[in-house]
Amino acid sequence: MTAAPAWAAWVEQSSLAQAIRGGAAFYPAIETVHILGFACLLGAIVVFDLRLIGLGGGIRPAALAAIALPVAGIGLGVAMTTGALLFITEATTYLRNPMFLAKIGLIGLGLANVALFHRRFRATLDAWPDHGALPAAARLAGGLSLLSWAAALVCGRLIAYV
Amino acid sequence: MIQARRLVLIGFACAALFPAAVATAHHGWSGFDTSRTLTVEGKVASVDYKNPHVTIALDAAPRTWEVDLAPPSRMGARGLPDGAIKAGDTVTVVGYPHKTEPQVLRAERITVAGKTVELR
Repeated sequence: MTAAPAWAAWVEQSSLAQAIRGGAAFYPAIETVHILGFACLLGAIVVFDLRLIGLGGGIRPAALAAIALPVAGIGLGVAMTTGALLFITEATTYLRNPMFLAKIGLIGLGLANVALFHRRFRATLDAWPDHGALPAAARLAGGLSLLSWAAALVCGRLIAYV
Repeated sequence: MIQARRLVLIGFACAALFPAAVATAHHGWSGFDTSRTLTVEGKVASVDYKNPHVTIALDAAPRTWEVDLAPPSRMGARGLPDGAIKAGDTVTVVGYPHKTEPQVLRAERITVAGKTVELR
Protein backbone atom coordinates (compact mmCIF):
# COMPACT_ATOMS: atom_id res chain seq x y z
CA MET A 1 0.00 0.00 0.00
CA THR A 2 1.43 3.36 -0.95
CA ALA A 3 1.81 5.95 1.75
CA ALA A 4 -0.66 8.79 1.80
CA PRO A 5 0.71 12.10 0.50
CA ALA A 6 2.09 14.53 3.05
CA TRP A 7 -0.57 17.15 2.37
CA ALA A 8 -3.29 14.65 3.31
CA ALA A 9 -1.65 13.93 6.64
CA TRP A 10 -1.24 17.65 7.17
CA VAL A 11 -4.87 18.57 6.56
CA GLU A 12 -5.95 15.65 8.73
CA GLN A 13 -3.91 17.05 11.63
CA SER A 14 -5.12 20.63 11.14
CA SER A 15 -7.01 22.20 14.01
CA LEU A 16 -10.12 22.48 11.81
CA ALA A 17 -10.08 18.74 11.06
CA GLN A 18 -9.54 17.97 14.73
CA ALA A 19 -12.43 20.23 15.73
CA ILE A 20 -14.80 18.51 13.28
CA ARG A 21 -13.62 15.03 14.30
CA GLY A 22 -13.88 15.62 18.00
CA GLY A 23 -17.00 17.74 18.32
CA ALA A 24 -20.30 16.10 19.14
CA ALA A 25 -22.53 18.26 16.94
CA PHE A 26 -20.25 19.63 14.20
CA TYR A 27 -19.73 16.42 12.22
CA PRO A 28 -23.36 15.25 12.00
CA ALA A 29 -24.38 18.84 11.14
CA ILE A 30 -21.91 18.90 8.25
CA GLU A 31 -23.07 15.47 7.10
CA THR A 32 -26.66 16.72 7.10
CA VAL A 33 -25.87 19.85 5.09
CA HIS A 34 -23.82 17.70 2.69
CA ILE A 35 -26.92 15.59 2.03
CA LEU A 36 -29.06 18.71 1.59
CA GLY A 37 -26.52 20.00 -0.92
CA PHE A 38 -26.38 16.92 -3.10
CA ALA A 39 -30.16 16.46 -2.80
CA CYS A 40 -30.56 19.90 -4.41
CA LEU A 41 -27.93 19.04 -7.02
CA LEU A 42 -29.37 15.65 -7.94
CA GLY A 43 -33.00 16.70 -7.68
CA ALA A 44 -32.54 19.64 -10.00
CA ILE A 45 -30.11 18.07 -12.45
CA VAL A 46 -32.20 14.90 -12.85
CA VAL A 47 -35.23 16.93 -13.90
CA PHE A 48 -33.17 18.92 -16.41
CA ASP A 49 -31.47 15.76 -17.73
CA LEU A 50 -34.83 14.08 -18.27
CA ARG A 51 -35.99 17.13 -20.21
CA LEU A 52 -32.87 16.90 -22.38
CA ILE A 53 -33.50 13.22 -23.04
CA GLY A 54 -37.03 13.98 -24.18
CA LEU A 55 -39.39 13.84 -21.22
CA GLY A 56 -41.44 16.84 -20.16
CA GLY A 57 -42.46 17.92 -23.62
CA GLY A 58 -44.20 21.28 -23.46
CA ILE A 59 -41.72 22.69 -20.98
CA ARG A 60 -39.38 25.09 -22.71
CA PRO A 61 -35.81 23.94 -21.95
CA ALA A 62 -34.59 27.48 -21.29
CA ALA A 63 -37.40 28.06 -18.76
CA LEU A 64 -36.50 24.86 -16.92
CA ALA A 65 -32.80 25.70 -17.07
CA ALA A 66 -33.49 29.10 -15.49
CA ILE A 67 -34.68 27.45 -12.25
CA ALA A 68 -33.06 24.00 -12.28
CA LEU A 69 -29.48 24.93 -13.10
CA PRO A 70 -29.00 27.60 -10.39
CA VAL A 71 -30.46 25.20 -7.81
CA ALA A 72 -28.10 22.47 -9.03
CA GLY A 73 -25.16 24.87 -8.94
CA ILE A 74 -25.90 26.02 -5.40
CA GLY A 75 -26.38 22.41 -4.33
CA LEU A 76 -23.04 21.50 -5.90
CA GLY A 77 -21.31 24.34 -4.08
CA VAL A 78 -22.82 23.32 -0.73
CA ALA A 79 -21.99 19.66 -1.29
CA MET A 80 -18.40 20.38 -2.31
CA THR A 81 -17.78 22.71 0.64
CA THR A 82 -19.20 20.32 3.22
CA GLY A 83 -17.59 17.38 1.41
CA ALA A 84 -14.19 19.01 1.74
CA LEU A 85 -14.80 19.49 5.48
CA LEU A 86 -15.71 15.81 5.88
CA PHE A 87 -12.76 14.76 3.73
CA ILE A 88 -10.12 16.50 5.84
CA THR A 89 -11.18 14.61 8.97
CA GLU A 90 -9.81 11.37 7.50
CA ALA A 91 -7.96 12.50 4.39
CA THR A 92 -5.34 9.74 4.36
CA THR A 93 -7.98 7.03 4.80
CA TYR A 94 -10.24 8.43 2.09
CA LEU A 95 -7.38 8.55 -0.40
CA ARG A 96 -6.97 4.79 0.06
CA ASN A 97 -10.70 4.10 -0.29
CA PRO A 98 -11.57 2.83 -3.80
CA MET A 99 -15.18 4.05 -3.53
CA PHE A 100 -14.03 7.54 -2.59
CA LEU A 101 -11.65 7.62 -5.56
CA ALA A 102 -14.41 6.35 -7.87
CA LYS A 103 -16.75 9.04 -6.50
CA ILE A 104 -14.23 11.79 -7.18
CA GLY A 105 -13.68 10.43 -10.69
CA LEU A 106 -17.43 10.39 -11.36
CA ILE A 107 -17.83 13.95 -10.05
CA GLY A 108 -15.03 14.94 -12.42
CA LEU A 109 -16.89 13.26 -15.27
CA GLY A 110 -20.13 15.02 -14.31
CA LEU A 111 -18.40 18.42 -14.16
CA ALA A 112 -16.62 17.86 -17.48
CA ASN A 113 -20.00 17.02 -19.00
CA VAL A 114 -21.48 20.24 -17.58
CA ALA A 115 -18.60 22.28 -19.00
CA LEU A 116 -18.86 20.72 -22.45
CA PHE A 117 -22.64 21.11 -22.49
CA HIS A 118 -22.44 24.80 -21.66
CA ARG A 119 -19.67 25.45 -24.15
CA ARG A 120 -21.59 23.73 -26.90
CA PHE A 121 -25.13 24.91 -26.19
CA ARG A 122 -24.98 28.13 -24.18
CA ALA A 123 -25.71 30.22 -27.28
CA THR A 124 -28.51 28.05 -28.69
CA LEU A 125 -30.33 26.69 -25.62
CA ASP A 126 -32.60 29.73 -25.37
CA ALA A 127 -33.98 29.00 -28.86
CA TRP A 128 -34.89 25.34 -28.22
CA PRO A 129 -38.64 24.84 -28.67
CA ASP A 130 -41.17 23.52 -26.16
CA HIS A 131 -41.77 20.36 -28.18
CA GLY A 132 -39.69 18.04 -30.31
CA ALA A 133 -36.38 16.26 -29.96
CA LEU A 134 -33.33 18.22 -28.88
CA PRO A 135 -29.93 17.84 -30.58
CA ALA A 136 -28.45 14.35 -30.22
CA ALA A 137 -25.42 15.69 -28.37
CA ALA A 138 -27.72 17.37 -25.82
CA ARG A 139 -29.67 14.15 -25.29
CA LEU A 140 -26.39 12.28 -24.85
CA ALA A 141 -25.19 14.88 -22.34
CA GLY A 142 -28.44 14.42 -20.39
CA GLY A 143 -28.01 10.66 -20.23
CA LEU A 144 -24.35 10.90 -19.25
CA SER A 145 -25.22 13.44 -16.56
CA LEU A 146 -27.92 11.20 -15.07
CA LEU A 147 -25.54 8.24 -14.92
CA SER A 148 -22.51 10.08 -13.59
CA TRP A 149 -24.29 11.94 -10.77
CA ALA A 150 -26.31 8.91 -9.70
CA ALA A 151 -23.19 6.73 -9.73
CA ALA A 152 -21.29 9.36 -7.73
CA LEU A 153 -24.04 9.25 -5.09
CA VAL A 154 -23.91 5.45 -4.94
CA CYS A 155 -20.12 5.42 -4.57
CA GLY A 156 -20.35 8.09 -1.90
CA ARG A 157 -22.78 5.99 0.12
CA LEU A 158 -20.54 2.92 -0.26
CA ILE A 159 -17.39 4.66 1.06
CA ALA A 160 -18.33 3.41 4.52
CA TYR A 161 -18.77 -0.18 3.34
CA VAL A 162 -15.48 -1.06 1.66
CA MET B 1 -26.83 -13.06 25.15
CA ILE B 2 -24.37 -15.69 24.03
CA GLN B 3 -21.01 -15.45 25.65
CA ALA B 4 -19.03 -17.21 22.95
CA ARG B 5 -15.62 -16.32 24.26
CA ARG B 6 -14.18 -14.47 27.17
CA LEU B 7 -10.80 -12.91 26.78
CA VAL B 8 -9.07 -11.84 29.94
CA LEU B 9 -6.21 -9.44 30.36
CA ILE B 10 -2.90 -11.18 31.09
CA GLY B 11 -0.39 -8.46 31.81
CA PHE B 12 0.10 -4.74 31.64
CA ALA B 13 3.64 -5.36 30.43
CA CYS B 14 2.27 -6.69 27.13
CA ALA B 15 0.31 -3.50 26.71
CA ALA B 16 3.41 -1.45 27.24
CA LEU B 17 5.33 -3.52 24.72
CA PHE B 18 2.70 -3.36 22.00
CA PRO B 19 1.24 0.13 21.88
CA ALA B 20 -1.77 -0.09 19.62
CA ALA B 21 -2.26 2.14 16.66
CA VAL B 22 -5.98 2.53 16.12
CA ALA B 23 -6.72 2.69 12.43
CA THR B 24 -9.13 5.36 11.29
CA ALA B 25 -11.18 3.05 9.13
CA HIS B 26 -14.91 3.51 8.99
CA HIS B 27 -16.32 0.01 8.98
CA GLY B 28 -19.66 -0.63 7.36
CA TRP B 29 -22.08 -2.29 9.72
CA SER B 30 -22.73 -5.13 7.30
CA GLY B 31 -19.11 -6.27 7.60
CA PHE B 32 -19.55 -7.72 11.07
CA ASP B 33 -20.39 -11.29 12.01
CA THR B 34 -23.49 -10.81 14.14
CA SER B 35 -23.81 -14.56 14.67
CA ARG B 36 -20.78 -14.42 16.97
CA THR B 37 -21.20 -12.33 20.08
CA LEU B 38 -17.93 -11.81 21.90
CA THR B 39 -17.34 -10.49 25.38
CA VAL B 40 -13.91 -8.96 25.74
CA GLU B 41 -12.40 -7.60 28.91
CA GLY B 42 -9.20 -5.69 28.60
CA LYS B 43 -7.19 -2.62 29.32
CA VAL B 44 -7.74 0.49 27.24
CA ALA B 45 -4.50 1.29 25.40
CA SER B 46 -5.78 4.41 23.68
CA VAL B 47 -8.98 6.31 22.99
CA ASP B 48 -9.76 8.12 19.75
CA TYR B 49 -12.81 10.21 20.64
CA LYS B 50 -13.85 11.16 17.12
CA ASN B 51 -16.47 11.08 14.41
CA PRO B 52 -17.96 9.15 12.75
CA HIS B 53 -17.53 6.91 15.79
CA VAL B 54 -15.29 6.68 18.80
CA THR B 55 -12.70 3.92 18.66
CA ILE B 56 -10.57 2.42 21.40
CA ALA B 57 -7.59 0.11 21.29
CA LEU B 58 -8.26 -2.62 23.81
CA ASP B 59 -5.43 -4.83 25.05
CA ALA B 60 -6.80 -8.29 25.76
CA ALA B 61 -4.10 -10.87 25.20
CA PRO B 62 -3.40 -12.45 22.84
CA ARG B 63 -4.56 -9.53 20.72
CA THR B 64 -5.17 -5.84 20.78
CA TRP B 65 -8.68 -5.15 19.60
CA GLU B 66 -9.69 -2.13 17.61
CA VAL B 67 -13.16 -1.52 19.01
CA ASP B 68 -15.70 0.68 17.24
CA LEU B 69 -18.05 2.36 19.71
CA ALA B 70 -20.68 5.02 18.89
CA PRO B 71 -20.62 8.60 17.54
CA PRO B 72 -19.44 11.19 20.10
CA SER B 73 -22.93 12.76 20.23
CA ARG B 74 -24.50 9.46 21.29
CA MET B 75 -21.64 8.58 23.65
CA GLY B 76 -22.13 11.89 25.42
CA ALA B 77 -25.91 11.47 25.58
CA ARG B 78 -25.53 8.00 27.11
CA GLY B 79 -23.18 9.23 29.81
CA LEU B 80 -19.75 8.68 28.26
CA PRO B 81 -18.45 12.13 27.31
CA ASP B 82 -14.87 12.66 26.13
CA GLY B 83 -12.62 11.63 29.01
CA ALA B 84 -15.03 9.12 30.56
CA ILE B 85 -12.97 6.29 29.05
CA LYS B 86 -9.25 6.74 29.52
CA ALA B 87 -6.10 4.83 28.61
CA GLY B 88 -5.39 2.41 31.42
CA ASP B 89 -9.06 1.79 32.30
CA THR B 90 -10.21 -1.81 32.45
CA VAL B 91 -13.42 -2.15 30.44
CA THR B 92 -15.63 -4.92 29.12
CA VAL B 93 -17.17 -4.73 25.68
CA VAL B 94 -19.81 -6.98 24.15
CA GLY B 95 -19.84 -6.98 20.39
CA TYR B 96 -19.37 -8.60 17.04
CA PRO B 97 -16.05 -9.32 15.27
CA HIS B 98 -15.40 -8.06 11.77
CA LYS B 99 -15.66 -10.73 9.09
CA THR B 100 -12.38 -9.94 7.39
CA GLU B 101 -10.39 -7.86 9.90
CA PRO B 102 -9.94 -10.21 12.86
CA GLN B 103 -8.81 -7.50 15.30
CA VAL B 104 -11.84 -5.25 14.71
CA LEU B 105 -14.83 -5.43 17.02
CA ARG B 106 -18.12 -3.52 16.79
CA ALA B 107 -19.28 -2.96 20.35
CA GLU B 108 -22.95 -3.19 21.23
CA ARG B 109 -22.34 -2.17 24.83
CA ILE B 110 -19.44 -1.27 27.06
CA THR B 111 -18.96 -1.54 30.80
CA VAL B 112 -16.80 1.20 32.29
CA ALA B 113 -16.22 1.55 36.04
CA GLY B 114 -19.16 -0.73 36.81
CA LYS B 115 -21.54 1.17 34.52
CA THR B 116 -22.89 -0.59 31.43
CA VAL B 117 -23.81 1.65 28.51
CA GLU B 118 -25.77 0.52 25.45
CA LEU B 119 -24.24 1.87 22.27
CA ARG B 120 -26.97 1.06 19.69
